[in-house]
Amino acid sequence: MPVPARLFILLLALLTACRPAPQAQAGPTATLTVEAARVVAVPPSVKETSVFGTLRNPGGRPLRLTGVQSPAADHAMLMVTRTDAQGRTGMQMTDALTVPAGGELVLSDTGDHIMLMGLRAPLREGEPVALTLTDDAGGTHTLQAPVVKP
Amino acid sequence: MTAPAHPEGAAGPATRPWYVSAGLALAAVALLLGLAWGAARLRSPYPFYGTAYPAGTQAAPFQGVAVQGGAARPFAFTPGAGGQATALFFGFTHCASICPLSLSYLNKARALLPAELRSKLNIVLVSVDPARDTPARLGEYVGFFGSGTGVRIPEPALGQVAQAYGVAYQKAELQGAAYQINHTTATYLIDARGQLRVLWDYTQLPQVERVKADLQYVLETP
Ligand SMILES: [Cu+2]
Repeated sequence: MPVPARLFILLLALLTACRPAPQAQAGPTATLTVEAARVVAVPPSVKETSVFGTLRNPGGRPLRLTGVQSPAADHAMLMVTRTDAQGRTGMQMTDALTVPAGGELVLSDTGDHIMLMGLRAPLREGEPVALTLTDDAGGTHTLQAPVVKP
Repeated sequence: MTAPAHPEGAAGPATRPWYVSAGLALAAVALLLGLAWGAARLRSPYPFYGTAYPAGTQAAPFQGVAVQGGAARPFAFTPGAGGQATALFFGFTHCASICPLSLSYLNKARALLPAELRSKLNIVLVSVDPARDTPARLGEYVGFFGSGTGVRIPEPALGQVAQAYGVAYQKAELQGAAYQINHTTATYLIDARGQLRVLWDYTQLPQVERVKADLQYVLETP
């Protein structure tokens, strides 16, 4: 795929909805936008992959994401990347990822990201994967991330 | 008392023409600069993007099993064999973020090389998860992101190979029966004489043009 086309697809991966759950507090609900969201394409026998992209929080309060789900995988997890004193790098599950007020959270291979574990079907390049993030105020944020071969 | 005679005596100041003096001065400056440049070149012969190894650092050989020509066969890595250079790194196929991207960046850097050099570089992934990574699985994984060789080395041999390259790895529980392996993420470039020339930290790999420049230098200057 030519680079401009790929960029176009990445930019199309936009946040589509933001529904406050019934128990959400009063006041304007924080909306979340996402840019360049993508799922790393992996061969069919591999059942885990990562989701990268940039989450933006235009609201005045930090958005603390505490959960993630996807119909494409048995488990979706919020992850952080850590390197220990011996130089070993790995990722660990985390209880929450925070998108700062008026700021952004970059999800990347070397930092915070989302992991999909137990993929239910082989991923196909270009196809969107739906993800639903939940925040600690009970809001849910749904986004579509296309499968992209790195 | 008379003042001591001037050494030049009545002949007066030296009559070396000004342009000869200027020329000698310029030559002296040029010589100094040249010596300094030469010394710098000797200490660091090529400004690698990655981290250079001291000259003469021999890479360690190893043996394992890899898919070659469609079937799993014994694979003996003899550094420099067949005049081939090798970009070697250690990872595992259940790795969800760094290993697929390492393969992708290395393939992209190789693709930027002049055609006649591309075939002189093999990309090799050694699994740090031999319990789950079969040669077939490794072969599919490496092939998905480009081309190269995915090698399974059983323990305890794997531990010795890792140690020889300064690689560390450790199992980390994730959820239920699942686990990940935390591991060092460098890629090692071994030249056609079997010597370690340069290593790139994972965070350097996205700069594929600069990785390609290092590759090209090592392939052209074994
Ligand atoms: Cu890895």
